[in-house]
Amino acid sequence: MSNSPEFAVEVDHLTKDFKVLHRSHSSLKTAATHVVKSMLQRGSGASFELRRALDDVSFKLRPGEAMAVFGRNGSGKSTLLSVLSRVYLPTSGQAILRGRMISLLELGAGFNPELTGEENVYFNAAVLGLNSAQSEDAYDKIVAFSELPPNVLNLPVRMYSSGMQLRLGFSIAAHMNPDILLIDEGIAVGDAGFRQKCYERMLEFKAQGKTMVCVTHGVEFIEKLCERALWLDKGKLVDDGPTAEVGQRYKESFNK
Amino acid sequence: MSIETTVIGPELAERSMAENFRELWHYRGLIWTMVERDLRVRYKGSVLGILWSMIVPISQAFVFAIVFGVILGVGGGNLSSYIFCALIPWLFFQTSVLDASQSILAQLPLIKKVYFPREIPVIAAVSASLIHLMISLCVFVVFRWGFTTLKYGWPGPPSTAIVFLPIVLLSLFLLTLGLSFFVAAMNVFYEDVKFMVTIGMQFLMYATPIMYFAENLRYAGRIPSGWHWLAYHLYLGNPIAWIVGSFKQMFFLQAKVPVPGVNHPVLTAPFDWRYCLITLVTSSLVCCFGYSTFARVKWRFTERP
Repeated sequence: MSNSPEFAVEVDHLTKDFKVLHRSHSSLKTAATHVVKSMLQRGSGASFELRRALDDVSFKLRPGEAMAVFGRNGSGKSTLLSVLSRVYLPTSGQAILRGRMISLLELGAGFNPELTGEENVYFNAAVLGLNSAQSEDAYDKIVAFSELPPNVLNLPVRMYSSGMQLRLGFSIAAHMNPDILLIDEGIAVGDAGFRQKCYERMLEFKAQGKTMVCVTHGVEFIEKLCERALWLDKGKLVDDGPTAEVGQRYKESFNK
Repeated sequence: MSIETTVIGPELAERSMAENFRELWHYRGLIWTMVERDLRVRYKGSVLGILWSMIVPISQAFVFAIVFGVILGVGGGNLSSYIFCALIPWLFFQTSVLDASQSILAQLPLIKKVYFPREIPVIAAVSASLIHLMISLCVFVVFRWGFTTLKYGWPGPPSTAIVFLPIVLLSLFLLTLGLSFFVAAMNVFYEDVKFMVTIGMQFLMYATPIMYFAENLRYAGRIPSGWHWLAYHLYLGNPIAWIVGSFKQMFFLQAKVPVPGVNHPVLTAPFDWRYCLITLVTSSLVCCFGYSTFARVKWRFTERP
């Protein structure tokens, strides 16, 4: 791309707070009194506290760069991807994405169990932003990649095994032709053979110069894919550098 | 080709209506895909499929016609036609609002994963009902000028006021969309809303001139004399009541109908363009109010407690 921007992703002092409501409905009565109380206190801020899931995170990615995000459970890595995919708005700060972005968060999230595989492919493609001509073009490739037999595509998705659903979900996501990919852990799914195929597909994306952000708490595969890594802990940016080094320090932190 | 740039920040929540509309226009293909999916899912596994959308209003009209015409003995020979006609806008209004109230919650798993404008499930729910409205309108025309003609003879042309149909349909659409936005947004945070809406719809159904004529209010024995005029006009101030009544005025010529409590048949009121205008204004206000409420809270849907 001749007109490629200097940065594909710019994240600037991103902060996200969640409201955590204090409620423990141990009985119907406490539930009822809670309702009355919360009605009286609405807006006073007394019935909830704020939990900071992302705390002043900043980084910049050049086009074609692949970055891993390490962190334990609850460290804010999924929140980061969710904010970048506009599921949540940040409380403060800004993120700029230059290029078509798609997020591979949870595969097959939009599947309707009553519709056939084919109908679901078209629906998911529309949700991810393809127009009907583009979906038509992508359909055969998606089906071929999923390795599902054609007669299965005419069955309702409720009859699919969970592995088959994930195969179809990954295949759709893998054929959206984005510039920026947000990838959540657990994206490589199914049996060993298909998982290998998922990895290869991601390496292919990398070879094509796509910008990638991969969230994970494992370190192994990601070293091959991402040259750079962030380490988040309790919402704060702890480390930013080459994957091998950050991964090493991240691993060591478990032994302390 | 310029590069698609997405700026994410807290100020997205304060985007202007024009910017929201531009984005919706960009996603118009998804609206249609979602409507199509709604319809497919609704009729999946039923043999008659979309025929059900024709059977429901017809059967409901017949039930009302039997209860009121045969058992209670009110209303003339045309009663089932009148009820069928009034049920078209009413059923659109009712099903849209009830479907829309669940639409955001039903799509929440998807909204939590992929970005698309949060207005789309609501617009899709109302649009799916709009397709049913168009079908039942066609069925009504066949019923009134086909079936009735064969059985009772030519019923006469519709009123000349039929030219106002597009404006009335626009008012109906705006009113329904506005209420749907409001109810859908509220139902995300308080699921009590859907029960309140179900009850509210029951009351509202009897507050609209489906099984009777709005003119009945002018002769109701329980309203003290002198207050009839006020009661009648207050009643018509309710946009859905006026819209339902206006469907009868547009599709039927003025006629004398029996009214309980009066020993002579009463001439039905003609279509009143002033009310048409008032309803268009109130419906637009409801739409703006409903949408602005929705837009104010739509980013919090994914963060609901």
